[in-house]
Amino acid sequence: MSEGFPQDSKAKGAAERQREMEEEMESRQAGAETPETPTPEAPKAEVPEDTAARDEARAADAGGERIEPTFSEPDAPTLEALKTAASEGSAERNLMASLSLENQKFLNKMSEGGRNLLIQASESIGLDGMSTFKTIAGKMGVAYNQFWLDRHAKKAAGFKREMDMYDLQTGALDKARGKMMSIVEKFTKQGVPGAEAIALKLNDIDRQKAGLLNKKDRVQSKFEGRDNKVKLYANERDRIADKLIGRYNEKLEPMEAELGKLETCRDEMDLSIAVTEAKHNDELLELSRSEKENKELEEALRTSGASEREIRKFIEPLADQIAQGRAAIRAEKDRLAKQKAAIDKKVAKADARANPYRDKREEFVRVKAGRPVKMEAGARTRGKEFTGREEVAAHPRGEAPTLEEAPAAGGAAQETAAGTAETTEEATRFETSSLLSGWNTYLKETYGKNVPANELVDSKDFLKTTKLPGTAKLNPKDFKNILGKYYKLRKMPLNKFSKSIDKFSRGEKPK
Amino acid sequence: MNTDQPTTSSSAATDVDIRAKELMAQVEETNRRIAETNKDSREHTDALEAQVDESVDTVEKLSADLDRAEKEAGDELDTHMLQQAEDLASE
Repeated sequence: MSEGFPQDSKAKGAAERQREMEEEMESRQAGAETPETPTPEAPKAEVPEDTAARDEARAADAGGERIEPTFSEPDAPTLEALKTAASEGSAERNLMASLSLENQKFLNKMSEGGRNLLIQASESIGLDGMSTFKTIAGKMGVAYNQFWLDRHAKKAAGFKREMDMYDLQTGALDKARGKMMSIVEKFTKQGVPGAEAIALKLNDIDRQKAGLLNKKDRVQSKFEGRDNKVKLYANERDRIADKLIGRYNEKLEPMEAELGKLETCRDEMDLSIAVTEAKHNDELLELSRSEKENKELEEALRTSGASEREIRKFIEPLADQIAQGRAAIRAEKDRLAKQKAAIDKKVAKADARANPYRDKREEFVRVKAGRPVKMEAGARTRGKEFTGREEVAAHPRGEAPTLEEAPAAGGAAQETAAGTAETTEEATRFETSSLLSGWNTYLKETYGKNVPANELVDSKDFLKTTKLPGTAKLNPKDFKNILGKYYKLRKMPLNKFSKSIDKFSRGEKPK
Repeated sequence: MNTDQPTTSSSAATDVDIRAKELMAQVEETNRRIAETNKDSREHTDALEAQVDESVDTVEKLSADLDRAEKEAGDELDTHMLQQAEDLASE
């Protein structure tokens, strides 16, 4: 490069350029100018265009090593640098706040370079880098991406590139030596003078080759040292992750079991409500009948010429009793609705508490799957040291059983009001046992051999679970509602039979 | 006729009285059944709620265990990262 040639950013030392940039930033900050507005005094040409130079400068601050950029550089680096400078203090404070007391002490004892590395790692994650530090998966990601991939692995790749170059040069020397040897042999055979002079050149080649091999050995030692360090870090990170995944596996299984129990409790609650409703409907029917008889009695008294006072004497106590019965049913319905809502809330809360852990466990496994890049470096390469620890089998979380309500039965449970039962006074009612055997017969006639025995209703279990006596009379609507809840509780294929349940409850014949 | 009338009236009154008593007994029996239904229902759903509470407590306990495990692993990872950063910086 000639003296008169203007110095560009490449020609200047990287550290020098960085210092210039920082001085400029400081002077701008001192001038209290709005950082967001680029000033005319800060022409773009003043900022080093060469990203490599800037990276080198940053590396010099970070501990003397070049850092490969992990994000694209903005068009206005000065502005970006100002923002970074402004947030640097808070980034370190955030980092400090996220650490335990012991690690805070560690951080305080760390070198400036080490602290800068951590902050840079958080910055390269994104704007919310510090919140990433607060999650385990985020920390694992940082431990892998920001340190292995961006630093160790790239450094190792550089060494590998250098070694490959020495291999190429050595190979070229070998080739040249081979050719020279054949010429020497030929000259010697033919008695041509000058063979000795060529043989001397062979010694030169051998010396050059020895020098290259020495250099390669030194680089290879560095490479292997780096490779081992990466592995040590990887194994340490994996050890921590495995321990945590192990704890997750240990705790998630019983947690799934408890969530299953909660689901069953909720289904059992639905069934219990359906059974109570059916009983209430039956009792309301009886009250309606009594009320009707009471009215007939009132008419009879009036016809017989009894005074209103006498009529009231007979009728009012009965009317009061009937009203009490209906009020008791209403009160129980209200209580059940409140209790069901409370149980649903508790179950939903427990489920919400447990869900993030199911997801996080999978996240740890995925993060841990990130491995250092394998680089083969000839015979001395210490590869394939992985003990397979990253193969930790993912314990698939148990799928919640698909439970579907029978469309017609779902709404009925909540909506069966006292008045409804009264209007169904004439509705046909059957004994529960007859309804059950009728249903099983209906299924067999509709589906034939396609209905496995375990999809038929076990009458004994049904009566035991619902606590209904076999002789308890139910109308088809109540039976359909209870049957739907029973199928759900027993995890039987309700969806498969929902249409048949509808048809059966309407008294339609099987196909 | 006049002599019969009080007798008929008395007999009718007795009939009404009997019917009223029968009806009252019938309604009382229905109300007793309602009370029994409600009692059974309450006992069953209270037992279910107790089971729910127990499971919710267990889930909470297991969650707290996992929170602790996460905290420990987090601190270990922090130490690991700090060591690694310091190591890298000193190269």
